[in-house]
Amino acid sequence: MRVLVVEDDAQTAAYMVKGLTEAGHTVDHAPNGRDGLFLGTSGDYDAMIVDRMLPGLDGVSVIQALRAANVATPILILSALGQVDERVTGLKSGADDYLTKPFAFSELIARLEALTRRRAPTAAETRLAVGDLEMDLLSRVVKRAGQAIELQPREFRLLEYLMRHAGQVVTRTMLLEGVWDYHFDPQTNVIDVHISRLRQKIDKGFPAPLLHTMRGAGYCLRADS
Amino acid sequence: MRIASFLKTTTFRLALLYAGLFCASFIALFAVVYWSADALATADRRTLVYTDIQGLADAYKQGGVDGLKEAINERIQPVNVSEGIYVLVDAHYNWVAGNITAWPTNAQPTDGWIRFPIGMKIVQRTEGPKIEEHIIEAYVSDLPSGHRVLIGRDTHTQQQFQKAISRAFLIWLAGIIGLAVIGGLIMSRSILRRIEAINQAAERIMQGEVKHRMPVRGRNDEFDRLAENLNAMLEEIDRLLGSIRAVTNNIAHDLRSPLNRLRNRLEAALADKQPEQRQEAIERAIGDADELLSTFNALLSIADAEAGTSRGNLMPVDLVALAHDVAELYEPLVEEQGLVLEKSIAGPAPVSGNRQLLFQAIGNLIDNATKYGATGGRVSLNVMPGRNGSGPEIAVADKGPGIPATERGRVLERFVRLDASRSTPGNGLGLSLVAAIARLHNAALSLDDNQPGLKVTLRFKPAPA
Repeated sequence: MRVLVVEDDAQTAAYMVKGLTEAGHTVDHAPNGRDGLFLGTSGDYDAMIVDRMLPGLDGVSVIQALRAANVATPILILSALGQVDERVTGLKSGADDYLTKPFAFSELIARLEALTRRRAPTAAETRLAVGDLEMDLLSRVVKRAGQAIELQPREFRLLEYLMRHAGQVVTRTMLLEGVWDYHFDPQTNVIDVHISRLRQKIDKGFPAPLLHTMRGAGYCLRADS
Repeated sequence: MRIASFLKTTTFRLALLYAGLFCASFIALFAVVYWSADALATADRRTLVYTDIQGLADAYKQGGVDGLKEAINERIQPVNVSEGIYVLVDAHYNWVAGNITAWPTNAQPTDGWIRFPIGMKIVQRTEGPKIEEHIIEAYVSDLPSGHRVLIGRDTHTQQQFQKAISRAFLIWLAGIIGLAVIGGLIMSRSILRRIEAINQAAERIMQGEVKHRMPVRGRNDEFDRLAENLNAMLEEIDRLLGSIRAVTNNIAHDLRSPLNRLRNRLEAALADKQPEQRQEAIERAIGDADELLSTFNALLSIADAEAGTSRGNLMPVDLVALAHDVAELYEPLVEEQGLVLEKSIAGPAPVSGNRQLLFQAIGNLIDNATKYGATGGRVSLNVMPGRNGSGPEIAVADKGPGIPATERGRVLERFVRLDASRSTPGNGLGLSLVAAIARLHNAALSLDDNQPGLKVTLRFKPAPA
């Protein structure tokens, strides 16, 4: 996909451009807010990564201007301003996600992919399926290979989140945000425990595991091995 | 101490200002006394002249010019102690009678009266007679016969009196100014000495004698109070510096080990020829780096909470819902350690706060209780509604070994960990963050004995009605 990186720090920008290019994306880089706004309005991008503190026009203003110009491209703010208030300000400006520097590249890629996927219309979906795992969102029944699986409400939401992001890497903080609606660095393996419980229920006794641990990144639910 | 430095002191200037005000009021008082005494003396003298005029007018009415002449001559007899000055002239200013020899030519009229100088022969005791110039104030009457008569009085006595009180006044004024200057010098000297003592103490402290303190004389006056307050401030600064130093040392210590580990891993990875092992070493190095980053993030979160930057964004938070959320997230973790999470959550418990930070604080407490109370069998999470006067409370308790009472204050500091070996995972920042979040919410944080174990309670202020 085509990604626009608006970042004034040359080193961070180079690192992101390199990483994203290696991940198979086409990347444009704008070193300041004005160029970012210009490229963002004229180019057809699948996603944008915008720094908040930019020379000339700051990131929040860029995003507000883009949204005012009816540019609906998913935008991820990447900023050193990590306080809860700053996050809220950033998201209110029209951004879709907020990642704090310093960041792990795996986290950035995972969030970026989740963002572009989110764009697809999901409103009418009542069933989710990954391999032989099925989830009926209306009757709230989960089956694997036709066999019903009992899940706690939160486990159901956790699995739903993973299934909606099937095939993508989902990080621990993404899960904490997406399933529990809290944003912080838990410093413990509290999410891992939930995942291992879920894994017990959906993978135990089946030949091919669906829920994979991605070392140093997070988790991924996918059908093929 | 040089005089020049005195003259620049505030005390001296205040003393001068005070002396100036005093002098001004003294001058004003003097002016009032001077003018009213002068007016009184003038009025007295003029009354005498009027009486004289009456007498002479009677003489003129009865005896004409001759009668007048006779009356004047009688009045200027040496046996008469009257100090009157008289002169009678005809229409051509030729002298007719009187005790001055001619009509005054240099008279100055003032409000119907004239003033003129005359030479007076004064008889002195030791030397011969001398001539003194006296000012005479007189009244002039034109008579129907064309004659003119002048009746006056010497103003010399009055002027002498004025001169005398003016001289006395000037002497007093000089005395007062002198006293004010001397008093100001003495006052500024004593005040300056005490201020100088404080200055010198401050200089010594600045030169590195950080334990030096301001002198307190024990008089319990304002200088003592100033010195005591400064000393209290210095103690507080000293304490803060100490804790900053401890934090810095701890940061250096706590971050050096993982950095060192990271470096070793990377070095090993560099040497490793097998790609898989290399991959694994790099992944572990990333894990180390993540651990370091999370320590820094925790430090930053504490700094944010302590700076109170989020205080403006406090929103209504329901502690009951929050406790259920925390329990829901942490229960599997607690159970995995073979513990039971006991919940006793009763509402309503509305507080004004930051949901994210409160969640993190309670999460940290449960995490700690699980880690350090692993032998106790259970961890409890309690929410109590606010009752008359007191706000809601949320408490996390374990049945582990607990924390000795003497250490309970210390564990709230950054990087303080009670297990000296530092074998359990953690960065020693969890409780510091809880303490900072409690402060942000104006909630009282207390660590108590759970007999056995540790009970950590956050007591919120009652919500404003």
